[in-house]
Amino acid sequence: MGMFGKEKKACMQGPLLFGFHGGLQLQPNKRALQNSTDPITELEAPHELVIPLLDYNKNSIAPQVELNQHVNRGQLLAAGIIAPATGQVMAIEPRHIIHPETIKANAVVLEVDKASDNQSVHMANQANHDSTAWDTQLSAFLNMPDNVLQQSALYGLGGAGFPTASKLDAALGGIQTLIINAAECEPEIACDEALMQTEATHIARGIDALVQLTQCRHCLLAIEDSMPAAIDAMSAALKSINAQVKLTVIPTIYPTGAESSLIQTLTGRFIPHNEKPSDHGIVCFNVATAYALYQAIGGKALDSRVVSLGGSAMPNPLNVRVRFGSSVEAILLATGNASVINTARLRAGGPLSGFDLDTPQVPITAQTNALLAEPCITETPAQPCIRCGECSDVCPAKLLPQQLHWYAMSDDHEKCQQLNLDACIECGCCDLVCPASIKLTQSFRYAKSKAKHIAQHQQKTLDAEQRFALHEARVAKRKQEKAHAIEQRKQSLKARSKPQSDQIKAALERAKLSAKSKKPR
Amino acid sequence: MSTFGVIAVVALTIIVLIAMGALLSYLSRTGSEKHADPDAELIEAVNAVLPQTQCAQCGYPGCRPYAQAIIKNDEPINRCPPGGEQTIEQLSTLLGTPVLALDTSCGQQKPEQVAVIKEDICIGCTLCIVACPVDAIVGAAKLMHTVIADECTGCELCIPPCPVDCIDLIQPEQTAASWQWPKPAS
Ligand code: SF4
Ligand code: SF4
Ligand code: SF4
Repeated sequence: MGMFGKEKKACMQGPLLFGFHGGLQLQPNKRALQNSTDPITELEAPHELVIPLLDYNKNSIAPQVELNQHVNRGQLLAAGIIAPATGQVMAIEPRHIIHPETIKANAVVLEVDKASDNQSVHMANQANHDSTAWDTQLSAFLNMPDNVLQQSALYGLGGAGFPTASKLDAALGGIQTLIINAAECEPEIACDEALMQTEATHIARGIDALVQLTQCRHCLLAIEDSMPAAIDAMSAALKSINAQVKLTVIPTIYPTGAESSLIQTLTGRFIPHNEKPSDHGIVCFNVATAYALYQAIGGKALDSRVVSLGGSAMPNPLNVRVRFGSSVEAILLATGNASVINTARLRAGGPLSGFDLDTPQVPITAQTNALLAEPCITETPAQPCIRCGECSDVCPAKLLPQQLHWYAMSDDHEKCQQLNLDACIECGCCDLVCPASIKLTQSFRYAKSKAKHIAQHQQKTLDAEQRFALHEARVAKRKQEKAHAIEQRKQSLKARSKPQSDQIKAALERAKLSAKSKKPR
Repeated sequence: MSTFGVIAVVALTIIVLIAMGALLSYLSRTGSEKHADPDAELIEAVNAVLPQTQCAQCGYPGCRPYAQAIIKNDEPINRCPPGGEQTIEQLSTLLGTPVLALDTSCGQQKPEQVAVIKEDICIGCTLCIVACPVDAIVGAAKLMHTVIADECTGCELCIPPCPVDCIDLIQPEQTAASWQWPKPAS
């Protein structure tokens, strides 16, 4: 406690803002920015990169490279997955992935060729400083956007990791409002803030490209009021582009950066969880995705991201730009944070929306926005619910967490659906306020994944039944065909057997006779 | 009796027989057309509860035939080992009959399993493909075969026909797509 205040309503009702239900005012606690003068430290690619072969839905996909093959930075490893560095494929095998429980997925293991990789970094930096090329690049992109979108493997960097090309596809045409999300409302996470401080001009160009591509009527850039340096940098940079972008400063309330909360804050519209913002003429992109698009238009595929190192036990908190596939361990070692590996509780993602890690030997992905080290604590055991109602007061999805928890724990999926479990955005607000320390959010995550599992199982059963029916039909048909063939053969034998059988009978008779006569007595 | 008489009797018998046959077949056809099997819906419901492993441990060549036997022949509802207790309970609720203990003479309930072919030993004899009731094995004659793990129901029917014993049953692996959040304590 003491980490949040609930007197948020006063500052919420700015003249142009609408606000959303619930939420919490949390201390931003962005250690990654507080202690260092350099907003972002660029890390060299480590010796080994591990790139899981998983698509957006976490299904395995087939590699398009072979063992021992040499690959260049930016080359396709599988559909939608590119090599984050130049090097050699050392293995294609199951490896641990970054995940709440240690599980494995098939992955490409890349041994980085340091010399040629450094050269690629050098070339990229030079291209970055050549600003005259931008106008030509932008118009080429706007003429043929698909080329860039397909080659650069862009996906959202806000957390969900949705492929940008699909989002743009759904958005093209009917978009009124384009929202650039720079709210970054969760404590400790400061990667977008740092990016805006250092790359404002380039971000503005990426936004310009998005505005021109979607042909939206309005574009809003939403930044929380706790980031003055980022606000200054972006408002200056937005003057350098053609597109009209309205910079909107929003109050710092968690989880205002969640898509639904942000849309509600800016437009007053509540979009139910089973509808898409694009159904309402709205599309949201993360500010880092706008930057990634800028880079992609300049020919540089998305292969790294900014990660905030923080948490109260992190000795050297800072923001680092790291290649995808770098292990958490390598990142901690390279930043003077090795001491936390065995002494602290490591966490991927923010203090509320993230999850604890069992091992640091897992590779980061586009979704890893923060790595935290917190002291190991024994968890307070849950007490019975006292029905204080705090959880429903803070829930941004307007749910009834205490009731949902009851049904989630008793595996009553029907009731969970009735109470709109699917609308839960797993923000963790309810956990934070619950005086009984009930693990509400985890029970919702559990119930959601279980419902998904049951649905998958039902589909599998249905498919098996269908394949069995097809199999049976095929077997029956074959049997019938065989019987038919035998019958035909019999018929044809019979048809020509008359003369033959007479001859055979005669022959048999003769044989019998001769046998009798020859039988010795 | 004259020859004519004999012929007449035989001819008459034949005509009567043919007429009866035609009548019978007509009756049976109109019967099935006009009144569809009244049990069909119930059989469908029972089949929907069965696990579709198609393992034949119940003594029938698949789940649907067993569903038919339950409805048509009063076969007991406790003969499906893959479904286990849960399926027996569901069947008893559906049919309003008492819950029975699993008939272990059919087999024991086992944890979920899938077949894998040791690909370096497989001789490509196609016997397992023929045995698989759900078409989950792919491969051509004399070429190595593979089990599609997602489609395998773990029925074990491919195991006995394999002449080189190269099919194993394993617990399906936890994948990123199938992983579930654990239930919090209390
Ligand atoms: S975790 Fe879910 S139930 Fe809890 S406050 Fe957030 S949205 Fe509401
Ligand atoms: S906050 Fe906790 S104690 Fe209060 S009603 Fe919700 S679950 Fe119960
Ligand atoms: S025993 Fe096997 S074939 Fe019979 S109903 Fe159960 S799963 Fe289906």
